[in-house]
Parts: sequence; C-alpha cells; structure tokens
Amino acid sequence: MKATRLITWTSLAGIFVLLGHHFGGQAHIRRKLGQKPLAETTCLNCHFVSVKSLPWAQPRPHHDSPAGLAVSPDGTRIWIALDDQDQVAEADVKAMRVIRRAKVPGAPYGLALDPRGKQLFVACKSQDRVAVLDTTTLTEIDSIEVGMGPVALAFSATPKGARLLVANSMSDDISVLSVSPWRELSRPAAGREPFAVAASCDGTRAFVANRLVGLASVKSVPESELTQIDATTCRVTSRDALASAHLSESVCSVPSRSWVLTPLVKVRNMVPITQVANGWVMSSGFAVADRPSGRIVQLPLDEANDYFSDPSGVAADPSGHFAFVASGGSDVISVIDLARVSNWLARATQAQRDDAIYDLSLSPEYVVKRVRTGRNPRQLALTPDGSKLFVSERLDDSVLVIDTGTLNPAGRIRLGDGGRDDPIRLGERVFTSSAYTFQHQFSCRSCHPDGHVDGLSYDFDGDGIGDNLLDNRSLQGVAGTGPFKWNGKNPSLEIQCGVRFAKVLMRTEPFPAKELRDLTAFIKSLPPPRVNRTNRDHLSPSEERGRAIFFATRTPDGREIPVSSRCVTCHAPPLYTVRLPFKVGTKGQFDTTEAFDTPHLLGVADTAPYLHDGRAQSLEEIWTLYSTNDAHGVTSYMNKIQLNDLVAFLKTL
Amino acid sequence: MLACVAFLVSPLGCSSPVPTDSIVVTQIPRGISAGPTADVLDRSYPSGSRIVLLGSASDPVRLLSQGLIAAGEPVASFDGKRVVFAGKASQTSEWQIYEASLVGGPPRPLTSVHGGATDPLLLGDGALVYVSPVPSSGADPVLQSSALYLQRVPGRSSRLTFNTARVCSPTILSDGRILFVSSSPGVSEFSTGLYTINNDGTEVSAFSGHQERMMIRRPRQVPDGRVVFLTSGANASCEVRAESISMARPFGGTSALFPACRAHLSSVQPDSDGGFLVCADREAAAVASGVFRLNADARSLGTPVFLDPKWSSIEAVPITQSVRPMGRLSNVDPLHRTGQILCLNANDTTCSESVDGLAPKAAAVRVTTASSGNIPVPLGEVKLQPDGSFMAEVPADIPLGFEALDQTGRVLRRVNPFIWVRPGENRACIGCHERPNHSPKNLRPLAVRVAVPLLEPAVSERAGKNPE
Repeated sequence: MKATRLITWTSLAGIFVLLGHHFGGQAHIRRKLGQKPLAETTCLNCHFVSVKSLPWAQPRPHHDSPAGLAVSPDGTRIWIALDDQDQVAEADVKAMRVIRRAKVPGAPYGLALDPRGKQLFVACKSQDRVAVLDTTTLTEIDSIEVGMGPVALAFSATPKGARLLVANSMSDDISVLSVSPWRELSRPAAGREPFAVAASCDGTRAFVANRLVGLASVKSVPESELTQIDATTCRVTSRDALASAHLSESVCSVPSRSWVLTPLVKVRNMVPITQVANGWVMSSGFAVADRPSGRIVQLPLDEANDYFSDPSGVAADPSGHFAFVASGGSDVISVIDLARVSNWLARATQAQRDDAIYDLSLSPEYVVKRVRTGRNPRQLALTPDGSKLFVSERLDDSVLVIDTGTLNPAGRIRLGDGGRDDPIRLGERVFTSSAYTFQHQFSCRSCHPDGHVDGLSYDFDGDGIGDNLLDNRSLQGVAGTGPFKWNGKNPSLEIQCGVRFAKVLMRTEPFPAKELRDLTAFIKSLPPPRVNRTNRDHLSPSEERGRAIFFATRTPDGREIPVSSRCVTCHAPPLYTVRLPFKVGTKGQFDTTEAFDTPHLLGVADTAPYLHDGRAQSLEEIWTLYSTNDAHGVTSYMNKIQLNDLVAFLKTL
Repeated sequence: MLACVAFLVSPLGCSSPVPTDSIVVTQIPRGISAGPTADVLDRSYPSGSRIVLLGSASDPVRLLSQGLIAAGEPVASFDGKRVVFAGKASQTSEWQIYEASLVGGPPRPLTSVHGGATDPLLLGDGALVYVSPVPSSGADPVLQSSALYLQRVPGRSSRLTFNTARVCSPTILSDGRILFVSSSPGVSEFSTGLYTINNDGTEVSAFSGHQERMMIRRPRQVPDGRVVFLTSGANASCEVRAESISMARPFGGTSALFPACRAHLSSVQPDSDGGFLVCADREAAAVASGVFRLNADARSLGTPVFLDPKWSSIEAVPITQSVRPMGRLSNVDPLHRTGQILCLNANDTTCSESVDGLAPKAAAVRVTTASSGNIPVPLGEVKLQPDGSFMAEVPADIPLGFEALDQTGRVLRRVNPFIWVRPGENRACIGCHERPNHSPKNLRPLAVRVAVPLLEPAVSERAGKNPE
C-alpha cells in the first residue's frame, strides 16, 4: 500500500515537475524571445552553447596537401607549398622524392620564383604576408605584409624593375611589390576573391583571375572579373567581365600567342533547377582572352554525357602547343591543343563563339587527351622547357609528373600518406569529388569553394518553380548551428547532405553511409571564415559603438527596444544565433514561408550576399533597403554613423 | 578460350561455381523453321531455343532455361551471379521474364503479365525493367504500342513510359539512365531513335541515333562511353550493321563499328577487355552462327570462341563482375496527379520553315495529348512571355505534344504527343526542337513570375487518359 502511494506521489511529482518545466520553460522562452517560438525550442537553443566544444575548435590532423608549385630554371628541382603543415618542400625531379623541407608559418599556399631561381616567394594566406626563402639554404630571409589572404603571386620583370604581384583573396585586392627594395608599391582593387595571378610573357602586364562573381542584384546575370594590371605603373588597365562564369582559380599567359587562359565554371543559377542533365546547373570550361582584340571566348571542357568538374589549375607549354587544365572534381587533366582552338576560333562566326560554351559536343574539337590523376588535382607547373607537367594531387598528398611528350604519367612525388585514417580528410575527398553526381557534373565544392560561399542564389524546385531564389550559405563554422536550410527543416547535416541533397542536386543515390559520416565530419571541421587580420586584438572605436548598438536594450533616446526586436535576442552569442526561425519581413512573392532560419554571424563579413534570397548585396542593405519597418530589429532610429558602427562591429565577428 | 565444340548438356539441377571468362549464349536449333508464330519472339526464338552458360571445364555447356520450350534475350547481373531472359513455358503460354542462377537450378519466373514480357534489363540495384506487351506477329511490330515497366518486387510493376509508340531494347547507361529504342506509330515511313528516361520514368529525352526508315536494335554502352547498336532496313532480309554513336562532334553521328569486317551479325555485346563479343556467321544460312571476340579494327571474324554445328548462337553475353551503374532517387511524388513543364524559349528552335530561313515567332503554345486514335487532342493554350518562355501544369502520365501558334492561331510548328511528365515532376526544356546537347543560357525566364495555368483534358477525354 505504501509502495503504491509512494509511486503515485512520485509520479504526480514527476508530472508536476515536467509540466512546470514545460510551461515555465515555454514562458521563459517567450519572455526571452519576446514572442512565441516558431519551432520546437529547448534550453540548448540559448544555453550551454560553447564554441570551444565545437568540432572546428578541436585539434585535427594536418596533412602534406600540396598547394602551389614552382620549378627551378634548370627543371631539376620543384618546390611545393604545404599550407596545412606550414611548410615548403623541395623535391628532386629526377629522383622524384622530397629532399628537404622548410618551416614557413602562415599556411604557405602560392609560390613564385625569381628568374635566376635564387629566391622563392611564398604567399602565406593565414598571416597576410609574403615570405622570401633563399633557395640555396631553404630558409626564410625576409617577409613583407600584404593584403589579407594572399594565395598566389607572380614575378614580373618590368622596365622599372622587378615586381611581385600578389593576389589577396580575402581583401579583394592585389599587392604590387617592388623586389628591390622590398616594399609594397600599391594595392589596387581586384574583383571578388582574386585567386590567381600570372605575368604576361614580356613581363609588362599581369592578369588576375577572381574566384567569385561581383556583388550585384541576384536577379541579374552574375559576372566575375579578369583583371589586367600594368605591372610597371601598378594600375589596373582593364576589368573584363566573364558573364555567368566564376570559380576561376588559375590563369596563365600563352607563349607565342597573345592569349590569357583561365578555367571557369559556367553557372546557371538564374534558371530553375528542374534537372541537372545537359549542364542545367553548371558546366565547366575555360576562357580564352585575346589581348590585342580584347575578345574573350568561353569554351567548354565537358562532353555531352560526361563532365569534368571544378576546373582549377591551368598551364600552357612554352611552345604554345598545349594547354593543360586540372579538373579537381574529376581527377583529370584535360590536354588542349591550342592550334586546334585557334583554328576553330578562326572558322567560327561571332554567334558560334558566343554560343560555344553552351555546346556540350564542342570540346572534342580541341581536347586531345584526358589524363587520369590522383585525387583533387589543383595546381599545375611546367618545367621551363615544357617537357614535364607537375600536378598537385591535393588530397593524395602527392605531385604527379606527366611527360608532355607522351602525355602519360611519368611518376609521382610522394609527400605524405594521403591521410587515409583521418575521417576529416576522407570527408574532404567526398566533398571535392564529382563521382557521386549525375554524369560527374559537380561536387560539393562546386558551390562551396573551400566550404565557403560562391556568392550566388539558386532556384531549387523543391518548393516549386517560381521566382523564389535561395542564397547559398557558407559551410564554414556551420557546426552546432543546426537546423539547416533557410526554412530550418533539416535538423542535422547528415540529413541535409543525405537524401535531400541526392534528390535535389546530385540526382543520383545518396552518399553511402560511411562517406556521409566522413563528409559531415569534414564540414563540421571547417572553422568560420577569418575576417580580420591575424594580429588584430581589439575593437576600433566605431566597432565598440557598434557593439553597444548590437547589445542595446534601449534606443539612444531612452525608448525600450522590444525584446523580440533586439539583435541579441535572435543572434545571441557565442554563435550569434539561437537557431530558430523568425519572421523578419523578407517574404517574397513566391516564397512558401515567411519565417526563415536565423543564420549565425561568425565571419558574416565574408558571406555576402545576405538574407534568405541573397537580395542584400551588403550588410548595410539589409537595413537601408530591405528592413525599413523595424521588422529585422529596431534600426529605424539609426543615423548613417550608427548604422556604419553596427556594420563595423558585425564585420569583426 | 572456350571449347569450340560443345558435347554435353549438363544434367538438371546441377550446382557448380561459375568460372571467370564465361559466356551466356542464346542458341536456336539449326534446321528448324519457326512455323506459325503468335508474336515476334516466337519468330526470333523458335521452339527449342535455349539459354546456356559456357565456360566450365567439367560442364562446358550448362542449360539455364531448363523446362522452357524457348528462351532468348539474356542479360547478366552486374555481380555476374545471375541472368534474366525472356522465356516461354509452353506453346500456348505467353513470353515472360525468367531468372536463373549461374551456379545452377531451374529458372524462376519473374513476371506474369498479360500480353507477355520481353526485353529484360537489370538496373544497378537489381530491379527488373521489361517491355510489355510482346508485339504480335500479325501486324507490323513497329506500329504496335508497348511500354517499359519497372518491377522491384515480383508481381508489382509500375509503368515507366507513357506514349503510344513502340519501345524496345532497353539498356542501362553508366549514369543510371535507361536507354531505349522507340518508334513512332502513325507515320507513313517508320523511323526509330534512341531515347532515355530515368529509372522512375522522368526526364524522357531524345538521346541520339535517330534513323529514318531504319530499325535500331540492342543498343549497348561500351566502357569508353560510346553507344553501339545494330541497325537494319525495314525488311528482315536487309543487312544488319553494327554502328557506334559518336559522343563528340558531330554529336550523334554514327559510324560502322567493324568497318573492315564483313559478317552477318546477330548480336554485339561489349566485352570486359574493351572488345566485343559478337554472334555472327560468315555466309548467312550456310553455316551455324558462332561466338567471336572482335576489336573495332578487326578485319575478319577470326576463330570463334564457341561454335556448335547443331546450334546457331545468336546472342552472347560475357559474365563478369562489372561496374554497377549509378542509381537515382525518384523525384516522382505519388500524391500529385500533375507535373509542371517549363520552356525557356519556345522560339529557340532549329525548325526553319519560313522563306528567310528563320523560324516564325510563336505567340502561344497549345499543349496536346493523344486520343485513342493518335489524333492530337488539345489540353489548352498558354501565351508566351516576351522572352518566349512559358510554364504550365499538365496531367501526369499522358502523352504530351506541343503546337507553336502565331498571333492568329495558325500552327507554326508541331511536336506530336510523345513526351510525358511524371506526377510531381518539374520538366524543363530550352526550346522547341532546340539544338541537341546544348546547355541553357543563364537567364531568368519570365514565365516563372506569373501564375501557372493548369491544363486538363476535357471530361470526355479523361476516361481514356492513361494509356495503361
């Protein structure tokens, strides 16, 4: 009897506690949010959130992933940037093995050599500097600060002295350096995310390939930029548009021809994604920029039923006979006969040249061979005599050597073990491979270069065909910020990347379970993008003022800001999101919902465009153009300076 | 190398391992005429036709179609462990699809469909695709309608194609699409072409190889991506040629597969070594057909890998573990009864019907479906947007045709009802008769900004809506 009574009272107490917790908790949530939550909410939305516990904050294995390559003038040595190890390796070409390594802090990524081969210039992307190595001792002898995120450089001998041109991927500019004396002469603006630079054969000009399209209305045709710089005057002399093309990660001048080549992804984000067949979402190609005429022709790399995704590195041999394009997603080097390209261009009408990139049966006109490589070929380098092509097989930790006479592999320089036991590395292989998508059309990386954004909005057909675009969100720093998707319907990355991705984009089968686990491990390991210089340790006065606005509970004139309209209510630190959907007054005519997932703000400065459909090209536009009724926080009281302060603070997150 | 002459047929119910490099062959007895036939399979595979496995030292010819009076059309599974084929249990029964394990045992029926089943195909996940009904021998088979069906569970099939044409010879491409031959009934001079669908019947598309007044049979994809097939004239007496389709320019152009080799071919199957397994004879009926291994540059048939004077070997399939084609998750939504079509620019067309060589501009598009007599029946009209785009919601799983209309309603261009959309499918095209193998330009069609009209068949037409 006693036992029964005890059980009864215990049960009642338990129910009481649960009900109290539930209703009390719900009341607490409503009080804190200032409104009824639009999705299931728990304590974990706001509490017990620790950045330190997130996967991207944990130590991870580092690998000998080859990045930039530089070959000695006599072709006997090759230097290989190992950004993940903070090293530069030197290898003997004949022996095909690494002979020594140098520590170069700052994620060394791009390499360039002076013409005599005495100095090796190293772009250190995480320390915003260029290091100079003595190639005899392979030790660092000098360093100079440049723009943010330098990833590529080119040596140019101008009438006014030697210049080094550096593509600063994060500050969207180009550092033009004088080599002697060693100083920065100018830093002209590039396109968005300059990622490669090459000097013209006569050294007077440099060409910069930019990875992302420029910011513009999401309903206009996106364009990336091929920037030309006069290396002598350090001025930009032309900005050529590559319409509906982006992700150009390399550029080269073609000796004996007046051409500049850059690979590209031809994107079709304006067209509803009803299918992927026939390159409906994207296809791969390269641009031939004829300098004297200023004419640019985009040519396809793909074939009608097989695609060569993520074109990355490009190189042309000294004779101007062949060009080589590395397709990072397909593990292939496409060998392009430039004479055939020239012949086709001479035969083609202007209309045919304009339409060439859309013709999926054109590439056999000039692609004479596809050479298989290891995983994720990215950067290319040729020996000065053009006899050997080196290919950085980034996710195999090796450099493939191709005999350009036979167009066959001639050997491989091993750098590491490929990271076979590291799920993050294995996941990166899945992320970068197009083997899982229909006809190998694209990889995850095709829309998320390095896990980040491509700056585009797409129209998926899951919510019907209509004028309802969705901004592509960064995967960097995404761990712990679920649910995912702009409608917040996918509770985990495993679901986001699993069946849904297979149905909507891959148009194949879902990733096998093991590959999906590895893939999500890789995505979760991606830290938020760095938006400040490495040595920055405090906020500016403007940023401090913006911080006060962000956390404000009252307007400057003393009026209380409703809880539901405070920045920090939805964008609560440390992730700057409470991971719930909110209505911020941005529903479009064809949107099927008016509540959208709250994005985290870590690295938000680097994720433009903004809002669920990417309509805001800048953070300022969120409030100046698209939130004039205080639906997205109380901001109508702000003057220009206050808004600038708020934006300045947001850009520090 | 297999024994050139077979001596024994293994006893029933044997069970022994399958050697590597073995071959499954369809044999028809020499010197037996087909006699009266009910359907086209009776004519191709007369009574006594059988499926055998070659290659075992102890069991050189193992009968796989035991208990059946006729069999043909073998297809091997990608794991190399089983074979499916069309078989007939008795003189009065219909052709159905059977499955046999290569290690032995009697064949197991997989289908039991009215009208019979033919042309089996195995998808990467093991599901069966077949054609039904089997065309009767009385009428011209080209003019007889048939469809592809998918069967994942025995006895439960779902239809994949929804027009009134005859479809046949399905095969699987490495990217997971089903490639099949289709002919268009109701035209005075028959023509055949290659088409593709996904494994759920979505995205029906013209592939290539369109042949006027020619029959295409047995398309197969080779490892380098090309598609090879047999082609012949309308009459059975016409020469059969093996051709391959160029995936390069000119895309879809065909060329002779064995240009230097003269032979009478009955089947060509890609082999695992990059060559081909060919059933052929040198002098038509004078000697039995044998099995040969050929490369594309072969100048003669050479020595047969298998030849039995008592039998003609008309089909040969290599048994190997091969690369599984890609699969695909279905986008069909069974809760829907309609799908959507989006055309980016109906005036983007290769048709040039005017004097100046330019296609006249259309102002509207009439969507049609096929009546029981193959007469186009209007579903409704949609005005084109200024950029030439249009969208419409249309009934799923019925044949759809299109007529481009000018301002006065005059038909400028016509596509007879041939394509379809599956329930919930969003189907898009660049234009009407647009250039093949082109990708779209990156433009936002104006049609996505206006309300989408629902086009439905008139009540009188709905009764016969689904050809099934």
